[in-house]
Amino acid sequence: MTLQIPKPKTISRNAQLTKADRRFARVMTAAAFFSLVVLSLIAIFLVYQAVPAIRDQGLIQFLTDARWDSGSIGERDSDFVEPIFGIAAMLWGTILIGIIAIILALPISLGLATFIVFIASEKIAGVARAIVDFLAAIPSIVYALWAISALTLKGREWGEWLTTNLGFIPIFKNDIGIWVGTPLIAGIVLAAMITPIITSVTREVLSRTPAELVSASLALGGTLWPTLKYVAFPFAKSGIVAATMLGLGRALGETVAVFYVLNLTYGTINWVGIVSPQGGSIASLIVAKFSEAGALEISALLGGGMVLFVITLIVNAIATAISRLAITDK
Amino acid sequence: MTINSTESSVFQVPKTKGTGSITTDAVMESVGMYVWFGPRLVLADVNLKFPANSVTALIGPSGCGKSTFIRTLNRMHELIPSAALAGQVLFEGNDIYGPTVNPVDVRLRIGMVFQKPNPFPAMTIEENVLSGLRLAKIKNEKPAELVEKSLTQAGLWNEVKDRLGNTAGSLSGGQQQRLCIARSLAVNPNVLLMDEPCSALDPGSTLRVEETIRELSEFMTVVIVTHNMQQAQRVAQFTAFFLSEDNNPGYVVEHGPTVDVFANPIDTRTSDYVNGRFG
Repeated sequence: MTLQIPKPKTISRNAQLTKADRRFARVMTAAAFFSLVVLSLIAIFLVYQAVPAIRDQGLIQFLTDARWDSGSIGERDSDFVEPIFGIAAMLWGTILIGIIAIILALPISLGLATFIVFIASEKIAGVARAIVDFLAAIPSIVYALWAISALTLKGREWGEWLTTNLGFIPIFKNDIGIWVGTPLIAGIVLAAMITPIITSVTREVLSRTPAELVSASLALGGTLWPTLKYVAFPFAKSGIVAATMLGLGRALGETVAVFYVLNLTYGTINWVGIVSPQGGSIASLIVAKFSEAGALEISALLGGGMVLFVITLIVNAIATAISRLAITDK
Repeated sequence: MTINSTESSVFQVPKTKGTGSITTDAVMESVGMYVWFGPRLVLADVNLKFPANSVTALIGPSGCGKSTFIRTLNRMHELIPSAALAGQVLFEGNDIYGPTVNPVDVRLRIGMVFQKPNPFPAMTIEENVLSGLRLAKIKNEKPAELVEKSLTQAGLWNEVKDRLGNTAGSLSGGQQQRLCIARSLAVNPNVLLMDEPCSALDPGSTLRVEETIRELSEFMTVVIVTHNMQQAQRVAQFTAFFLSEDNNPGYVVEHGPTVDVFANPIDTRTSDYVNGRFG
């Protein structure tokens, strides 16, 4: 007798849903699409608006030129100045203050998260958690006010000290003699703003370190630091990287707090001089120039917005990819 | 003896039966051990001797405090928030809870294997074996030899010698548990505490681990918590029966050579438990 093998049947997921389920699923799908549509519309809008300026300047020139000059139409022909719009100085400035912010915020966040998860008593950890969450909720204008009123004064002293004592290192050089509006100050403000974000995410990942691994480490004679170094941090590694990227994404896009403390310099790229008052920030550029800009300059500013949009998208994509990697790892 | 278990209730701790027949020199001994979680007394007046190079099984129904007790023997209990204890654990004659004793040193001399195999997932097999040295910052001149020796003692060497660089996650559950045993052995402890080491393993792996335990007992002292009566009889020379009745703290009902506890128990509750009539 030959065995009759039945034809395989796939059962659609739709068949498991009731009518109400299906309606709900449709609403949810629409919501998901909506966010995608919004994202695409923003991108299309930015590109569309930026085209005149980029066509006028050329894409390479726009991305690599450090000069930003609105141009002028004088009474005589000789007074006429051709407008030049390049965002290189602002683009690099954005990245520089982002890097400063991460370098300052990451160790503090790691320490804080470790303290909350592994060191503090339950009571103190609860208070610390609440404070960190509260810090994350403070509006950026409040950070800006703090930076203007307190940090700028302190920052001037720190900057002067760094130049006087460590000025032989290029990053602490300052030929101008003014220590206000430096990338360092902007980086510090940003660090203060992103520390709560990085801390929150890091705390969450660290707290998921399996208790049995911590027990194993302690039973093998491990004390706190070796347990962190060999067990908890390796476990949380990719989560911490993702948290950092999230913080960086926030730092790159931050506008008002940077605008009030950073001196924007057009014309030259300040590559490393973090205590020199020559900064750049695409977001701040837009705030500074938008209200008085002509049609072509507005188009150029929107081009800057597009570049910023692309950078934050890339950073977020990296963060997502890394956190997904972390999930498949385990 | 009458003690206050909580402010409202008073509990009479019965005297442990059968202890008299253990006359061998003990390498480790718990003396009048009481254990609390917060205000709740969970173990009362545990007095047990663990003779050198022997296996002692701790048996009893769930919730009677066996696992809690075993964690007091290498100072792991105190790591739980709200945990408290009173009493002594004498190891080679000295109280491991003495004021000058460093808990890290205690845990290095008295190793522990847990219920669920817990090798470090990010480390290779070899790194797992050596992890105790790294964690406790112990230097070793010949790590390769130590890896081979520890894995051989744990009965795992032949199965993994060609893939020491693989991650521990590539091993089966039983192999992972023997890797955890090897990891504990690498720091050269005198006593090995095992908290239901086979409860997450299949019967084949269980027998393999039991074989390892018997081999280990030739040169070290083993204390094993188990729910498996047959296992206790297969591996242990001595057995202690823990019991907690009517929400009272757990205590040791009976303690003695395994053959006596199983064949001629003194207490009827011991007899009922080992014959499967409750628990």
